[in-house]
Amino acid sequence: MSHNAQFSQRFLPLFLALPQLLAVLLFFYWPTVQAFWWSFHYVQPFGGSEIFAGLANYVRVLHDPSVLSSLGTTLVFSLCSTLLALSLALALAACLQLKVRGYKIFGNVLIWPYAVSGATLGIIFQVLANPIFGPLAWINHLVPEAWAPSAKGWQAMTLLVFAYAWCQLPFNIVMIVASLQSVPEDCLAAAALDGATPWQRLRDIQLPMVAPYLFFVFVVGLLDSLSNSFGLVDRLTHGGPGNATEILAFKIYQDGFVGIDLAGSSTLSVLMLVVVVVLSVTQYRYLSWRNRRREHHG
Amino acid sequence: MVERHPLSTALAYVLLLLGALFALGPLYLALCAASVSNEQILAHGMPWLPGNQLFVNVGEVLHKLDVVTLMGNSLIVTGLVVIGKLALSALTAFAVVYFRTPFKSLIFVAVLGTLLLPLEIRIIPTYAVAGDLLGPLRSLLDLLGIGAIPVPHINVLDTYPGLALPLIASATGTFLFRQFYQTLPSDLVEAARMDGASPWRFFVDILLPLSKTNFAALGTLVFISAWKDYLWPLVATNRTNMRTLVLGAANFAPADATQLPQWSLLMAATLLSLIPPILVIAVMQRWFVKGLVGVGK
Repeated sequence: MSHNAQFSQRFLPLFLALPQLLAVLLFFYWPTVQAFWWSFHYVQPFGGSEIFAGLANYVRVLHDPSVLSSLGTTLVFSLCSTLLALSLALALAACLQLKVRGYKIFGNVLIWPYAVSGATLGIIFQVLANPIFGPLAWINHLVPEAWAPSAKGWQAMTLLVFAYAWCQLPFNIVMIVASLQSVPEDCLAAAALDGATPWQRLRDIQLPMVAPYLFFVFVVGLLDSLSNSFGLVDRLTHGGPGNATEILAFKIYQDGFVGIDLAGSSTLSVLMLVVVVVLSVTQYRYLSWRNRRREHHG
Repeated sequence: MVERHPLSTALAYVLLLLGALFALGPLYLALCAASVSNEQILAHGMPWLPGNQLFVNVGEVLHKLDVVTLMGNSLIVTGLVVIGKLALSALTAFAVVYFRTPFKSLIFVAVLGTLLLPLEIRIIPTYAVAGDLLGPLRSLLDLLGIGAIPVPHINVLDTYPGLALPLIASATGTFLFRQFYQTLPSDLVEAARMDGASPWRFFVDILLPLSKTNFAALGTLVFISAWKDYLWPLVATNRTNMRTLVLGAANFAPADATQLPQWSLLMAATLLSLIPPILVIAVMQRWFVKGLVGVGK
């Protein structure tokens, strides 16, 4: 934008942005600084004294088996649910893209899960997964006690992965449909003239063209699954059985508010922040790489 | 599409039907469970078809849970968040796009940086700030050695501002408006400057009317996300009559702990909390999708 096309007041923009700047300083940066501060101190709850602890909290937390298992749980949960949601969404988006009769209704309905809060879905799935009267109760009639998500860790995790993939599906479908639409129509028409079937067109033209974009959706999904899964976990499994589904976001909340371990919880927050930053940098570097490539190709 | 292919059309229908089943199945089964009596669920398992008790159950939920208050809370908080996010995003984007100022990148980076800080990782210190809004100021004054200045305690927990304020900053919204403003022709602002219009006039009379579509798209998206919020209302409310509907319905349990869980009532309460966002998604889908694609890119 040329200089002529801008106003020259120097401090007015600062004033215009002030409400948002105050909001981010007060509710984002200050709490983050506070978490860093607490992670380097011994903190007594309820406004007690704070004594500098150096890296002691980090040493304690990284030697804590429940933290290590939580990291593993988070990895399994995030990877599985994100991959599941991505592959389901890809299949459905490809079908929507064929524009069969009534595809708009399917498209509309497939987005509905976006309206459901994770906590609400947790309640619904808790009832659906009930081993006595739920739709899966027949398993227990065949093999007694085979289906017991409140006792078997892997079943609880499977349930959680499915439930979260359900929540994540609409976002992925919308993003993938948008990316498939960016594939030039004449490429596909030319391929069709050459006798390529819809499946061949998907495999040989559309998929390679949107592949980098799928990676982007995957990273965004991973990032979301780290934080947005709290309500679902809290309501569906509450981290259990044992700590089989205690993902990091849930443990931060649990250690802080229930265990009243401010230092430990804050140390976990800092560790999670590191993970978020690494993933976001990956995403950012990918975006700038894509933009460079786009400019290169004109 | 280019041409029809019978086999792939059939396959597409099968997959889409399965997908729709997957997407609507849990909601449908919840509806079934909400429309029979609890005794029937316990005796015969969850039904596959809706029963005729839906309105009886909903009536009982309305009797036991103050749905009107909770719905009102949700609407007020969601409304505040939507207005806050739209206003703050549009103003900030205006500031970074239309001014020649050294603070430009500072403002933009500060706002965009919040993408790295989801609520879940700063939940406890954010709760502390909401309990003592001027606490950070007091700490800073202490640090500067002028802690003698009295700073009042302001606690916004259990209030509407407390439920909304920590959520009104929006990096994605700011980014969306910035992208949009950058696509507008620069003749607009040159003309406005030649006519001697102030920046504020330009913003109100020219930018805002042009941004209608963006407001609708972002507003729909923010409405749904804010309605679904669970973690912040969970920690920021103690009084049950300040809860949002999603939280209240999730916590809906029989008042008497010796009673069996009222599954059908729980499902009915859950469904009530789903009506507003599902209506918005089904009816305003065009705006919603536009918002989602804009934010994701």
